[in-house]
Amino acid sequence: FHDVTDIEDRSVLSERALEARKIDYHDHRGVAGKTFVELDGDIAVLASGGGASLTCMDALIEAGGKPANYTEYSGNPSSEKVRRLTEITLSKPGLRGCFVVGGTANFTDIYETLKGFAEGLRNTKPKPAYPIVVRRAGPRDKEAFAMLAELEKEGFDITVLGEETPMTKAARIMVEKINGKTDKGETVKGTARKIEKREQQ
Amino acid sequence: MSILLSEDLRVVVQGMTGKEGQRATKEMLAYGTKVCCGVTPGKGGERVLDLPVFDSVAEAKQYEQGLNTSVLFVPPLMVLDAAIEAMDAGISLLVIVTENVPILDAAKLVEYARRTGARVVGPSSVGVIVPGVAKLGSIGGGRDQRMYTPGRVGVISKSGGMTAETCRLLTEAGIGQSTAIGIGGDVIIGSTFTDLMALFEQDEETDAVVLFGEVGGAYEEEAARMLKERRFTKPVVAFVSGTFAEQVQGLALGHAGAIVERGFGTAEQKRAALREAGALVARYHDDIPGLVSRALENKGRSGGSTE
Repeated sequence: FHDVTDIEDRSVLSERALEARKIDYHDHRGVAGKTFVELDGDIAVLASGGGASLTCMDALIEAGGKPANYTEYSGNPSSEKVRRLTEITLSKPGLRGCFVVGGTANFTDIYETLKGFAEGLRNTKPKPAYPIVVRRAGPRDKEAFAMLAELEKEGFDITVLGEETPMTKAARIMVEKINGKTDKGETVKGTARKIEKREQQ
Repeated sequence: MSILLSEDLRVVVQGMTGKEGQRATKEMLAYGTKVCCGVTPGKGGERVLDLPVFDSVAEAKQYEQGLNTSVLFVPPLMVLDAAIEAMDAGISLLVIVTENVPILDAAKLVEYARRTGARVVGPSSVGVIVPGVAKLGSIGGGRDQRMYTPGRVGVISKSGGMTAETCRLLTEAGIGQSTAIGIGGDVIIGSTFTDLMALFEQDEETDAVVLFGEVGGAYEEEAARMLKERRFTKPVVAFVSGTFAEQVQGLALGHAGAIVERGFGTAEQKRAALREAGALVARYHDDIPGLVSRALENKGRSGGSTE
């Protein structure tokens, strides 16, 4: 609702923030990148939900991590919008980690949004070698996690966590992975197995 | 039973013909909530989900005289009129789910509610749930009811999504909830932490309360004062998010009300005030269940007294 012209934008927003804001201009469904704040750190953040995003930023910092940015997408945006936001967010040089986090969505299609993330990740050059931690749940999450398992095969260092892992715990796992303590992280397969097990019960 | 929802709950949904309204109504019905009818001006006579739709709340009231609660899904600029219409028709509880209601409209409708004695939850409220009994609004979605379980802990949250996450953590730790309320993260809201704490204080089915607060405004400080002055005597576990947002002065991140102005309303100030007043304050959000267990144990050991 609050719309400013390009000229005003340029005086207050960074180039990346400006690019992120443009994502919503021609696609009204959901919100992606409307708010994008540049920070000094090295962990790229793609968060979902107003309260959840702030809670997870705090948890990252509390655990000793340094976010490279703050941005948020929610309201079931198209995979195209999430792809673009991912590309912008991961374009920052010197990243050491990527944290994709959100609560249990009511209606955001987790498969569609994480598909956008996966595409954006694949388009990022050079290919990210840093750890990626995804914590998300909601409609079609099982399909989404199976799709993300492909990324592991492609050589990405990705950890996928579902609703059984609290999001602030996921933030601590992100920081631990960056610091080399990978033993506490769970693998994609592990999470997928857990979900299957739960659904069988 | 619990707070806000009475045994004789009879619900009208304003904006039931819209996409959001319809989805939420379907879920409310599935959860056992007594939704009687809907109101959308100009669509009187239609039926949605096999429920009648009326042009006004006054007409709906003629159809179902016991109507006492309205859940609003109307567009932001129509919320003020719709809320006043409901209050004029004698509705005593309004849950406003709509986001982006203008601040001035929110101020007017909260003032109107004070004068008429109606209770308003929201705007930007995800809803109210009494686990296993009934729910109002979008809370709980339609997919996963395992998040909320019946029990004796009240939950009040400025964030809708985090209401769910908080209750999920509690549920997984075996701690059920008496009532969970998303109060909304707007600058002006109808029911604040203290408004609802006053109800939880009286509720015999609630042993402790969890507050999910956020940077900005003074609602958490009010809660701390209430605790300090012993107007609330049950254990309180609090979490306040948004330390990070303080680095970005003058910009609301996440929620409209999450804004620090002139150094006032920081998350750390809120945590300190709550801690000083006797609340257990969680460092990480997932510390909440452990603190609730500890608070309940402490309470048990002192024989129910708060000393």
